[in-house]
Amino acid sequence: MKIARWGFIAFFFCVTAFAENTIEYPFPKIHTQSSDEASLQRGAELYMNYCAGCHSLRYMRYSQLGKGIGITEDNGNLAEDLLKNNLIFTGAKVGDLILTAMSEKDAANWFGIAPPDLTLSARVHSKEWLYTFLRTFYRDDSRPWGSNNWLFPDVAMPNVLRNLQGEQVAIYRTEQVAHEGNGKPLQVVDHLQLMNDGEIDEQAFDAAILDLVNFLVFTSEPIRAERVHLGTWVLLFLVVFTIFAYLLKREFWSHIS
Amino acid sequence: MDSEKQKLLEWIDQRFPLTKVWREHLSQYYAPKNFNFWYVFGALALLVFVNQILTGIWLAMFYTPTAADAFASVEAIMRDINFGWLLRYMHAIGASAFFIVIYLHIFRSFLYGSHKRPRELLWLFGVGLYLLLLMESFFGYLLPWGQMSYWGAEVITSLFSAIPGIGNDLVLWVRGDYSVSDATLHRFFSLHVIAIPLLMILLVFLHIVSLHKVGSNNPDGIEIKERKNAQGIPLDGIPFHPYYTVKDLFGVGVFLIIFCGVLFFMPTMGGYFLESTNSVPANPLTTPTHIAPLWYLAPFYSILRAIPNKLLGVMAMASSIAFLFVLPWLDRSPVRSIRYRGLWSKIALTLFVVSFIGLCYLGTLPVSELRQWCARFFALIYFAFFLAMPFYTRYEKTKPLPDRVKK
Repeated sequence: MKIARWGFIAFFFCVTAFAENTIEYPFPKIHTQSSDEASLQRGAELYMNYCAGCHSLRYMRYSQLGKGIGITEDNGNLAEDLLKNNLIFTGAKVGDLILTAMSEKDAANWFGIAPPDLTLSARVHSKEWLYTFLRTFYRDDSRPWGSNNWLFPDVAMPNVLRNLQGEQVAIYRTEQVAHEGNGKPLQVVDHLQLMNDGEIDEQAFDAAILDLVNFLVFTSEPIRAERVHLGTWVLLFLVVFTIFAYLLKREFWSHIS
Repeated sequence: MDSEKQKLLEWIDQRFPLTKVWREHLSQYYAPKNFNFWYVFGALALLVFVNQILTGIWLAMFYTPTAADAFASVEAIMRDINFGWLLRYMHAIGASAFFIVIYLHIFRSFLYGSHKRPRELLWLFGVGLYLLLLMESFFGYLLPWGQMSYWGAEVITSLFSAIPGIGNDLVLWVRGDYSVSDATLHRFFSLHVIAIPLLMILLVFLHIVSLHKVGSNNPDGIEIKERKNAQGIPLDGIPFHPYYTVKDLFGVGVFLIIFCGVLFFMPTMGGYFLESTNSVPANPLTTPTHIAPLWYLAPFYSILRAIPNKLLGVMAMASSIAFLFVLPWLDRSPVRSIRYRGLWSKIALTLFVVSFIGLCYLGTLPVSELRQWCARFFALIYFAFFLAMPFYTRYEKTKPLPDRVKK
């Protein structure tokens, strides 16, 4: 057994030697609360006003969205009028999937690539990634839309949240890159600086983005709350079941020498 | 009432050997009394298999096997179908659980020499089942039609092109198209839900029949049938039912706590059970920068990648599984269990486990120079374990076997 133990220690040493530093951008640790309905509703409001024009949520229905973020009557039923008047800006019915009016072909012509569906964006990327991406747009006159992104360089998406956030510019630093660019110094983004204020201050903007990320985490798995709720009861049952199964086993095996 | 029950039983027994089957396989099937923790995984494998079949039946009711609708239908299962998310998670996490259970079950065989005479056929049926399970998971992994489903299938089917002469035609025949497409999805669906499960049920049946013919091995690796009492019952044997049915029931409880813990509280298991890259619908025009198999196929993928020549790589990958089939004849040890084997066997098995886990880990990572050399090193150990087995098992010093099993 000693050999096995040393073998495993050596193995895990190898494993840690492999751990690569893949995070190049400062990912702040964020905490989203999936049960915070007010935050989800603010996130949905932001989404429908700023994102839904281009990005569909094509695996999600308006009704499911409404129920999931708490747009309900006192009896728990969906508050249809409230949903229609506040979050449905197209002719869609409450049972419809959340699509965009823009055709994929047109979108690909205009932006170079059709804006992706965002239903599962929080499954594809981490929530920290989304939070950072949405906060790190900056002015870049060399790009077709006049903006670029720190986390996702040369992204095709324009800076749609500029009015809220204000305009950021990139402050560069010079770095020697040995294996790229023939050893010439390279300009890399060091940090972003806010040049003029937006409609809301920095703190309020960060909070709004947090709500939006919370909403996207919700759309990526709307049954999450149900899953955790059911899981708690299932595990409680299984613990009781296993205790009785153990007692049964002990009773039977007490005769075996 | 009792006499009526008796009458019914007699009526059945005259037409079908119910009582006989019950006795031979449960109430009078004598299993060694010294089974330990490692012996629960056979029963658990059966449980997970039943789970896959049942959840699979319901998933197939809502799933659409076409390139246009497959991805959306899986999302509809996750959102629109009542408890569809539960079925889908049970099935997807069940696949990973199946492999964990099977790997531990196979490890148990290595540990106590359960593949050795007279259990060679039992072992062969088991390895056959493992091979089917690998195929079943590979076919099933295409069905969600995500990016990694698509490109994983594209890479693995392209391996047939390494076969000289007929390679390219074979790839075309396997895919049914020039690349993985609607036709491929249809046939993989058919194989996943009909062909492979049917073969698996057949092999599970043969596996159990041959087990009950030769009797179970045990941690001491000695035959309990050699010492019987006056009634012909092994002295160290106890009836499978009720002793092992209640013990396995407890094992099932512990397993389900872990399984449901993952299922309800961390279903993606940090991207190992459900990969984040598979949340993007398949796109034949965009190749992902890093194509990784699921963790349970990763060791073999690692071996494939470690060898620079494609044909040799495919051959190495195939032989890494083929060696399992000849294991009973490579193992020349006079004893079965690791408890009585010599030091060399213990070192070899430890290195083998380390190399297998190492290959598994490396297979999920992008390639780099250092990792390539590590994968080659682990692959070398993997093959050396089998190739050197006839020598170290034969010439090492073993400990004397006990007469009766130890507690």
